[in-house]
Amino acid sequence: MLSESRGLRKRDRSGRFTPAVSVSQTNWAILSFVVLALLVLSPLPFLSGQLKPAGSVTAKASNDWLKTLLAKGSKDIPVSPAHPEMRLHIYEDFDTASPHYGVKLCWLLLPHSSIRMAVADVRTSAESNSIYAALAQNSDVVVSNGGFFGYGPKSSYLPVGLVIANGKASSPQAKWSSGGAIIQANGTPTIVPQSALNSLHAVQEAVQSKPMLVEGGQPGIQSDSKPAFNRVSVGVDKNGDVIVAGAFQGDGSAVNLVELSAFLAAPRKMGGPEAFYALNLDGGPDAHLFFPAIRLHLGYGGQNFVPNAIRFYWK
Amino acid sequence: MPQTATNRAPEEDRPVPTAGETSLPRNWQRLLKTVTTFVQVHLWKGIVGLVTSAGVAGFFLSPVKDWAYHKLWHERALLQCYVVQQQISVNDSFELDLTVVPQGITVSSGVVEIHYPADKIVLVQPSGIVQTEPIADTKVAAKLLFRAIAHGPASVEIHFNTKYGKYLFSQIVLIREVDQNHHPSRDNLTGTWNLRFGGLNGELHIEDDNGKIGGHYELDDGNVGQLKGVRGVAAFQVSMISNRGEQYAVQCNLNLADSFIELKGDFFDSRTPKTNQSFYGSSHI
Repeated sequence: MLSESRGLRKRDRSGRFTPAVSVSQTNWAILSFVVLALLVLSPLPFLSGQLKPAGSVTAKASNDWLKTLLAKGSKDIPVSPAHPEMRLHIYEDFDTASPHYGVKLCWLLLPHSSIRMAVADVRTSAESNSIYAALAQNSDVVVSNGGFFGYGPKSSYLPVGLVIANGKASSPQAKWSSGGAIIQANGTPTIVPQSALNSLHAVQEAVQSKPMLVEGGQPGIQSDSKPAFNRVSVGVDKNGDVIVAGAFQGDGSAVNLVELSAFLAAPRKMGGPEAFYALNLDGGPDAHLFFPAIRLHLGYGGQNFVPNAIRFYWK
Repeated sequence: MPQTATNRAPEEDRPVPTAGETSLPRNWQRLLKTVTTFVQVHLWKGIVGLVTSAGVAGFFLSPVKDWAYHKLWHERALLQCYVVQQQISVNDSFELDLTVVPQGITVSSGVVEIHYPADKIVLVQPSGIVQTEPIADTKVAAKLLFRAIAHGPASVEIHFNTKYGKYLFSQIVLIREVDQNHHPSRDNLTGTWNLRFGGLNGELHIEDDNGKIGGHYELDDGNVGQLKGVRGVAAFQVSMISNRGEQYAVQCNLNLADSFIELKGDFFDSRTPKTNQSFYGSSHI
């Protein structure tokens, strides 16, 4: 048998049920609720969810910066005398108060019907500028750096990931869980995700890399705690046209992957390349773009090892 | 007493000596005259010679000679300093030798005063002012023994004051941090590196955050500053920003040797961007 004081309700002297909670207890409950609500709604960052891990860059912050930069307009440079309509779009942050002061974002659209790619297995240590200049041929529109490399035996350097040049694989496929490759299988360059790499046949040219920066038109990277670096990316738009893009800064610290991802996915009406798929290539001091017709080098030009490079040329 | 006849004239008959004459006996007068004549004719030259000789001797024996000599021949000297130890770390003792190189005449005796930042180094020996003897040939005038007490560049000023010259020499000594055994690896360059920067030696203190390079550098001439840049697997691309406002762009290969890593390449001074100088860093792994 329950006593009268137990349970949610108890009887009063007249025998009616009354709430088991007293008036003073009710006041405390209301007060606690009000205090809790005030704390949740307060501007203190740790309560309102504004505090992020140190060093991480959010998509929102990068989007704000990107929108501002793209809104300022680009400098458009013809990169092929035979095709003056083909222009390299360069956005440079001239705002001295900006944390990205001096950063250059650029992109170039190459029509898939006219452009072919060729992978060069370089494996040379020298000044980057001279390596890329020596690689370039008359029909080349742009020469880009390729994939990653690491340490080989006896302190040598070796490419990491699949590299196929002129139908011959010079480096085996890496078993990565993400990323993909830029390939040319039927005479047309395109981007394939990692999951599709094993099912490909008759690939003439390929460079495997990671991560995918844009997938299905959406930015593929939402947060990145890694530092900003110079970066190069290749992609395709909805029509299959090839996009070559990069981000460069004099001291090598241009953007992180969130910012590059957002830039690649930015719509054309905003000034972005509007990639449908985009793959990150090697970055840091290894990020390099060379436009032979106008002798323009973007990226670090000093001493380096270049494992491979991708030439995009008129067919 | 009978008077004896003499041929002496009576006292009243004697002529009163006039000026220039003496009352000496005549033979004495004659002798004096002869001597006077001799002196007048012959010996005054000798006396003059003697006096002159005495004056000259006195000049050469007196301090005036030294003063006049240095008025004619100015004393000049070159000071050189040589730090015996190649690298100095905190708590190390090190010797700084002061060499005086006379440029012409002998450098007169003097004193050496040493000024130094007491928060960086202390002078162990000698305690007090160093006195030097005259220095005719190149000579180590002082051996100064210091102890390093704090990290950073320390400017030692040496004032060498002689009777006829004042000389100043300034030497910057780089006090390095004690090796904390943070040895760089090929995956992370964080640590202390030996640096050869053009014609200067120094140190790099690299902080490698996933390829982003920070830290600072120190050169033996007192030039210190920050490092900022990136590295790849094989490349090292940084800016060296001096506290004095100078900026250098460094472009290097990252070479792996058997027991150490090399940063080998060039640097460009922003004031002369087309002129490259050699940059070499090395560190044990």
